[in-house]
Amino acid sequence: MLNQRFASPTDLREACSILGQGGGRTAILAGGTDLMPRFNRRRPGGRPDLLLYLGGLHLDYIRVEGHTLVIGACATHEDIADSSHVREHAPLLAKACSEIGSPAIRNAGTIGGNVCNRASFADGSTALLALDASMVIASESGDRIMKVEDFVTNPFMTYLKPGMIVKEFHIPVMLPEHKWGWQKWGQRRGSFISVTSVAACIKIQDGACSSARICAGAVAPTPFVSKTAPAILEGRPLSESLAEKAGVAVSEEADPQDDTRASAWYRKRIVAILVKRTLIALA
Amino acid sequence: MALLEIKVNGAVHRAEVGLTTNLLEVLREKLHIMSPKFGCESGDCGACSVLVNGKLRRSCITNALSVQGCEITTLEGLSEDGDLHPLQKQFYEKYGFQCGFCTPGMIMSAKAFLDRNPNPTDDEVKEALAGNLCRCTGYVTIVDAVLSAAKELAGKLAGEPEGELAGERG
Repeated sequence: MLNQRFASPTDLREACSILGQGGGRTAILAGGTDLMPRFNRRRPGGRPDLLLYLGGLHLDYIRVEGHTLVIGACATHEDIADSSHVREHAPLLAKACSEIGSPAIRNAGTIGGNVCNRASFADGSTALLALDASMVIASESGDRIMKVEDFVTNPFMTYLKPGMIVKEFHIPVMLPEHKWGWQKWGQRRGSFISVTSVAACIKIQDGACSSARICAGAVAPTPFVSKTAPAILEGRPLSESLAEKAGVAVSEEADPQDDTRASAWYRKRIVAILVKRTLIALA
Repeated sequence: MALLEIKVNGAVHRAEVGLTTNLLEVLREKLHIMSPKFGCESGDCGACSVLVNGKLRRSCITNALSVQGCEITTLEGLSEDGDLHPLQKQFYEKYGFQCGFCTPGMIMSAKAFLDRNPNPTDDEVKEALAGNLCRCTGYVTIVDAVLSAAKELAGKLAGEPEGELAGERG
């Protein structure tokens, strides 16, 4: 009890240094929407020895730098959904964040937390993957940049090691030839966790699809980028039959699980339909 | 344990809190402010809703030490000089509650919403309250109450004829 410590550093390198010192169980707190429900179960041994709070670091900025939209890791879902920069340059992300949880959850939950907690249904992650976003990881010795796609190494692990903090996300701004789509499916219209979500970002040139990033959430241990859909879509004009083929392909890649919200069987079917609907809307 | 200092409904309070203590525990058990209710303790039901620096939050999943120095508003902070806030008045007028357990959270969510959108549609109210569960399922009168409060806050009620009001109350 006496050794427990709440740290609220105001300097990023200092925060990394505190985390790097290790010693006991450490947890990183931002909005708390995932972490606090876990603490509230009061499991024996569930309390950390060090709780490092990121709120003092002011990582909640959103700005445009050249052709890159830069979003601080502690920007809340509401900050993002409400930002004119995000609405203009990455409307897919603004839309996805505007549908996460309820207003109170969006006021607290952060985009960094959404990615780091690596939930299968993390809508922010699904959108960032479709946008081919990168992320900056800070450590005491400096920053490094990597693709969001490479960050979650497996369902139980991220790239983060002790002493590292996710600082910000870099998203290439949308160009006129880019089209985006977002579909979120669940049991009610407001305040729900995705049973399946689909984010798509495609490029149309001379009437044909020249690149396609189709991502699905809640149908695999983590949101994923489809590896098979691009080969089906690229070089051809979008059509209903092509959209259907891509949907089937994404469904075959999906590896969903049964849970309280839906069965794996259902998710396999719904993801094919959502991909199809997303692409038809873009045709 | 660490010392937490927060302002609740305008008054400064101090309390010793643990690393993982949530704001709801502080409000109810340390400060004896009882309007925020202990429902799901996972952020789903909305019964513990309060404002933190004017923004709607679930106090049950808000780490107490993360709101160090912040201004918290609970339902108790809405009435002025003993006069009910228009939202409180309209929940009473429109029978916007049955058992009453969800009411403080409903009213705080509605307050945060009307602060941003003073002239909402029926659908917008429903969406704003989607994160607040009423297990008596009395949603129709709750939405009515919020819409009426919006009108009252906008000063529209004052100009309307008495008869229409009486008719609505039926």
